[in-house]
Amino acid sequence: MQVDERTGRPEAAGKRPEAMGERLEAALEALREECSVPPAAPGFLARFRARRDAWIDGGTQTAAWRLLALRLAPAGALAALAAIAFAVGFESPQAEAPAPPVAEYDDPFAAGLEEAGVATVAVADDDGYEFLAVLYEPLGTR
Amino acid sequence: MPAQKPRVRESAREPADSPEDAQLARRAAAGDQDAFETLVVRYETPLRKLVYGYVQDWEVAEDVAQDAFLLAFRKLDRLDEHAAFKSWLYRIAINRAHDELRRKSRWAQRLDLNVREEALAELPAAGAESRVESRLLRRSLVRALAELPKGQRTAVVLKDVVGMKYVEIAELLGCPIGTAQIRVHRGRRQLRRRLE
Repeated sequence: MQVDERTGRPEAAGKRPEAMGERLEAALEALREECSVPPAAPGFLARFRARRDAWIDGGTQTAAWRLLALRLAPAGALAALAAIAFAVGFESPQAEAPAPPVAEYDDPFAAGLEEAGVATVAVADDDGYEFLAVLYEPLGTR
Repeated sequence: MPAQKPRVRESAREPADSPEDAQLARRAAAGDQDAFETLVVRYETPLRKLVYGYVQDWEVAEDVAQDAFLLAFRKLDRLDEHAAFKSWLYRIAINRAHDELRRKSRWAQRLDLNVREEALAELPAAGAESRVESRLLRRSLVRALAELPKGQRTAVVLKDVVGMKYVEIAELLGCPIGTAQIRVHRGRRQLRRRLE
């Protein structure tokens, strides 16, 4: 068993507080030594200049784009409104048309009509009574 | 002649920010790029050393210092008191270093594993164990620093790594000297516990 030289008492398990301090001090001392001799950075200023100039150029380009956007904004807004109005006007007749019923019946004849595009098949199942409706439509309307 | 207490001696020191810096900063804010470059040349090495104290990697330290200078250049018009340029620049660098340290500490655990793997390969070489121990201790210190509260971490790095005086730390952090001393003391205590 190791004995503490100062107190003459047996050492406790683990490290003594002094040893822990030494460990920290060793780590900090190593760090201080490294800090005292930093490696040369010959391209530091050149790199800074490049980054600064890139930022200045970027700022100039951003400003130019912003200016262009501001100048084009009224015309752009008008064009966008016109495009929306045109699209809505063009789409509205179709949007108002009722959606065709979904074919859910597996009858080969009805399915053939459905596939041929000459009829729309609808199925109702109210009160346990199956009802098949085949709605004939003129050719070429779908 | 009786020895003076360190605190009195430190208080008698000149402020960290020099009048020449203030003039250069003022000129730079007015658009003089040469003036700012003079400041870059002047503070490039101190700033890299400061950041190295946090991240313990010279390449990362250079990147962070670059970021700090660029940010300072971009925000120079917001610096009201040009006399405080150095403190302001250091604070920018410290904040960036904190971010970097947080990121680095996430990788520290994985790096430890790498070090252990490398250690197996290095074992036949003389002195490999001490080198490995040294590197592991370094990683432990990075992690322990990252786990400290920000104020304590800054105070410990500035005092124990960069070697600043308490009065300079207090100026930089904008706190009383006593607060700086307490932060260093508590930070060291925490580090000792974490490196146990």
